[in-house]
Order: sequence, then structure tokens, then C-alpha cells
Amino acid sequence: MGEVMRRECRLAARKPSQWLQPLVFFSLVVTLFPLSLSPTPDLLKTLAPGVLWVAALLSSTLSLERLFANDFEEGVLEQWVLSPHPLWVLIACKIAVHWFFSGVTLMLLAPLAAMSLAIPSSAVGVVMGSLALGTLCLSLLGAIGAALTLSARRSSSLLSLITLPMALPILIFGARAMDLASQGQDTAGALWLLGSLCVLSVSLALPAVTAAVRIAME
Amino acid sequence: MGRWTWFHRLASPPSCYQTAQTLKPWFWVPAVVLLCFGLGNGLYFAPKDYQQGDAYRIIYIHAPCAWLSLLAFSTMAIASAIGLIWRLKLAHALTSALAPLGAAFTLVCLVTGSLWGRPMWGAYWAWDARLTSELILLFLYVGYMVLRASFDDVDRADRTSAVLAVVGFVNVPIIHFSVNWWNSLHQGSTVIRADGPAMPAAMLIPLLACFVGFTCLMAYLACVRLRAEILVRERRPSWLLTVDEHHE
Amino acid sequence: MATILIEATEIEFWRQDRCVLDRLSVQFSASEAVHVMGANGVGKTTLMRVLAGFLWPEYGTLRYRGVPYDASLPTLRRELFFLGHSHGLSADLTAFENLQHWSNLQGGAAPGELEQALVDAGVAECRDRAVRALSAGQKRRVSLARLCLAHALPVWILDEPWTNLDSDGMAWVLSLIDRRIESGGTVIFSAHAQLTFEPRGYRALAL
Repeated sequence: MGEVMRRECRLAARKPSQWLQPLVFFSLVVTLFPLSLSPTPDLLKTLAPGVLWVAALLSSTLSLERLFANDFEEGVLEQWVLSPHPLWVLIACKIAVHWFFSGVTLMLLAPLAAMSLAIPSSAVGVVMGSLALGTLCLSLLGAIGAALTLSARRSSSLLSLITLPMALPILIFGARAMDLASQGQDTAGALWLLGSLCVLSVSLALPAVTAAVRIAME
Repeated sequence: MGRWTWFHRLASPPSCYQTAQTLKPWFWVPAVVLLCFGLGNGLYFAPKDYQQGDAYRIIYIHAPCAWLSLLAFSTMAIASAIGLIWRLKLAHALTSALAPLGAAFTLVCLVTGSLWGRPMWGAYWAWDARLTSELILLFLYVGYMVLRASFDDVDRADRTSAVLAVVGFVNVPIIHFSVNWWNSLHQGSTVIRADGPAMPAAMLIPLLACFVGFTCLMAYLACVRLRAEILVRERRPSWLLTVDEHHE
Repeated sequence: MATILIEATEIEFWRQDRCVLDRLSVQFSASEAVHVMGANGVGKTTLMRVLAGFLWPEYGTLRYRGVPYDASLPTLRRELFFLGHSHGLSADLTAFENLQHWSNLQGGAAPGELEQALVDAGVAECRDRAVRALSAGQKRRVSLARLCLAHALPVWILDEPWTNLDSDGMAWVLSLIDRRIESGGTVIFSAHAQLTFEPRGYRALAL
């Protein structure tokens, strides 16, 4: 298992554009919103949770496009299906490394985005925490979409169309957590809800992705 | 295996085709009767609601459609699971047959809901919790149908969209809960509430008739579509030549 | 009587409206090199994927060591080496890293063995080059280097392993197959080109 993670990290390190581009996209979207509205601090503060989460959702669907595609096309996924190791373990490693490179990096970028949107610095901790949990759920749910569209006729928005409705609860709870934090209120409830979503996503996504990958091999 | 032979016999395309044909009258006759009674009574004869006047009458279409949109999705999910676990192609045919029906009922529910909302809220759309959940359900249906359409191979389309149907179904309660939670934070109580037991019998009975009538209607349409799906998918058409088309 | 490893009884497989495998019954025993022959599109790849457990036939039964595939797939996966049309190498990793990853999936091998496999395959100089930069023939040789590491796996299913290989390469692969048969394994392969020699236990299966 450790070896699979090392392989994934190696691949990510050799193709940095795959996870850097969504981060640039995220920053771009966050920049577009204040430019399309009046950048008064109060307005920005109200809109900030929504803007950050929508940008995070959109940029994650970008990074999910290629989650399994390369390995599928090169035949490596085929060897994974044949391996004596349980397929779900290999897939879990892949998703974990993907989350690290796309979700955690987004979380590290978030303080800058948050402060540009007039979120008080006291709330930045919750911003980062909710994004970390939220992007983990997104990586898991998005992996389902990525696996389902592996052998489909590729269309740019098919993955988003499948993933975004399922990502709605993440958006709602995550934005709520950030909103409460900006107002200085207690965010424990919303964060616990996000955490429970993570647990649910793990138990749903791993069997679903495994099944979808096996179907793609047919 | 003796106990299951009836199931395997039913699950063969020719017998399913035949069964759907014989079931059709059992569905459309009650549908017509119940809908005539239910809609006629509801739209014309039932008393006016003390609060909403005549506007509430749209519930006779809106509520059954909402129920059917969920029923169709649940049936799709169960059929998908059966198709995936037992590799039963007919189950996938049923799911494929139900999808556009469910989507159509969801759309009718949304349209009637927003028409109902106009006299209530003064706007056609006010992000009511129930309607927003229905909208997301419509997206789930559309996602299913688009995914299915993006495969050339029927078997792979079946099995991939079956996984999506099951995953979507598991997500529906979570989405519903989160939308309700969001709505309760921002808007207060929703206005479109069908108070079931509190409704007088004169309103309730036509409503129940509409529920059952619309369900029979959907079952009838599902039979029609299922037979069409079987025709499209069947690979060894020799049995089709012997089907008696006299009853069509 | 050699032990029957894979047994397919009356299997039928359909793709869209076409029946690719029509009530096919076939057995594969130990120490056999089975050459699946047939024109393009007759179903060689489909048969191999069905035997490897990727595809499920609509009718008929498949057994591995006497146990139906439903129950015996985990055992099959532990004992099978499958090489399909795609070479199964990550373009961004080096040849050595690719072999290392594959051998870890199968249970681990010492780095020395991996180096030796690359040498045997004739691509020792590609050890630290990214697969992306290799020629088609070199990629095929790197993916076939896994054969040297798979000597413990009883069943080999090779779908046209000689694509992009020169005649030396073909002779090398045939010698590996020969060695595997000698130690009791089963090899099922398909080939378009004429074989330079027939390995021991050779049997032709025409579809």
C-alpha cells in the first residue's frame, strides 16, 4: 500500500500541471467574483463562503477529470483489477494522494483567497478546516463520477453533471461553517456535519468506484 | 433452485414482454377511472380551502407527481441493484424504461409547484425546500440519462448507469436533509404543505384517488416503455415472430 | 492426465447484436501452450478477457481448478499473468519504476531480479528512462520483461505479445513460454505472425 502511494506521489510530482492548473483556476474564479460585483467589504463578506465553495467545487471537477483516465488508457488499471491485492485498497490510496495534491493544496491557498474576500482572519482556521474536509468528500464523490465516465464518450461537462448534484450537501454544510465563522459564532455543529459526510462518502465511494472500474474493464 | 424458477421464467424477455402486455389493461383502466374521479372531484367539486381559495387545487396534480418522481427513482435504484448483483438484463431494461417517465413527472411537479407558488409567494420560484429538492432530483435524472446516452455499448451503458442510479438513490436522503436544513436557516416555514389528516374527507378522498390513479398511469406507461425496450434490445428475435400481435 | 486448470463450458458472449463466442466449450490443462487462432474480429481477445475474468459470459460456466469463477476469482487473480493489447506501463515513470510497481502488486521482488529482467528483455539501457521516451518495440519489451518475473504464476494469458517485436524478440518470448511449460504452467496466447518454433505442449485452438 505504501508503495502504491509512493508511485502516485511520484506521478503527481512528474506532472505538476495536473494539480497546479485547477489551483490557478480556483484563484481565477475567486478573482472574477469581486470584479463582477462591487467590492464593498460587507458584500464580499456575505458572498465569500458561497464564492469560495463554488470555486472549490468547479476546480475539483477539473482535477478529477484525469484521476483514472491516464491509468485506464495505459492499461495499468487493468493490472490493478487483476492484482491479488483488493482493488478498493489500491483505489483508496489513489484517491488519498489525489486529495493531498488537489485538496490540501487548495486548503493552503484558501487563506489568501479568504482574506481577499474580506473574511476576518479569525475565521481562516475554520475556512481551512472546512475546505480540507469538503475537498476530501469531493475527491471521494468525484472519483465515482471519474470512474463512471472512464469508457464513456468524453464530454467536458458529463463529470460535473454527475458529481455536482451529489456534492450539494458538502456545499451547504461547508458554506454554512464558513458563514458562521465570519460572524464569529460557534461552528462545531456544521463541522461535525461535514465530518460525518466524509465518513459517509468513504463508505459509499469505495464500493461504487471499485464496481465502476470493474465495469469499465469489460 | 425450485423456489426461484418462477422468477427466472418471469425474467426471460419473451415472458416479460407477454406479462407486460397482459398487465396493461389492469393499469390503464383503473388509471382512467381513478383520475376521472379524482381530478374531476378535486378540480371542480371539492370545497375551497379556507386559506388558499381555489389555488390549492393544483395539489391534485403536484403531490402525486412528487410522490411518483421519488417512487420512480427508488424503483430504478432497486432494479439497478438487482441488475448489477444478479446480472439480469431485464432489470436494466426496466430502469432505462422508467428514467424518462420519472424525469417527466419531476418536471410536471416542478412546473405545478411553481405555478402554485405564484399566488402564494408572488413569485414563480422562491427556493422552497421541497421544490429545490425536486430540482436536484431532476438533475439526477438528467445525469442518469446523459450518462446512459454517452455509451455506444448497451451492456456497459446499462451497468455504468446502474451504479449511478444506486449511488444517486443513496444520496437523495442526504441531499433532502441538507436542503431542508439550509432552508430552515434562511427562510422559515415553507408554505406548500399538504396537511394530510387535517384535510376534510371531501378533499382527501379525491387526493388519494389521484395518487393511486397517477401511480397506475405510470405503471401503464412503464409497461409500454418496457416492451419497447425489450424489442430494441432483443438479440435472438426468433421468438418475436411468434408473438401474437392481435391484442395490440 | 494433466490437471485441468481452466474449463469453459458452452459459453456465449454477445457484443451488441453480434454473438462473438457461440456455445464454446474448451479446456486448458497444465503444461499446455495453447495458440488461439483466428481471423481478425473472430473473438480471440474476447475469449482471453473472458478467461481472465474481465468479461462475464451470458450463458455457460467457467471453472478454475474445478471451482466456478464466482468463487474462484480471488485464486485466479493470485495465479494469473495477463498481458492485453495495452502494455500496462505508466508513461511518466521509468521502466524500472514500472516493473517495481507491478511486482509489488503481485507480491514483491528484489531489485536485483528487476534489473535482471530488464537485461533479459534487452532493454537494460532503458532502466532509468521514462517510458514516454521509449520506442514502441522497447515499450513492448519492458512490458514483456514482466514475464521473467512471473515464473511462479501458473497461468499466462498473452494477447498478441509479439506486436512491435523483431524476430529475436519473438524467439525470446517463445523460449520463456517454453520454460514456463516445462515447469508445469499453462500459457494461452494469440499471434498473427508465424511462430519461429512451437513450444512444448503446443496446441492450436481455432475459433
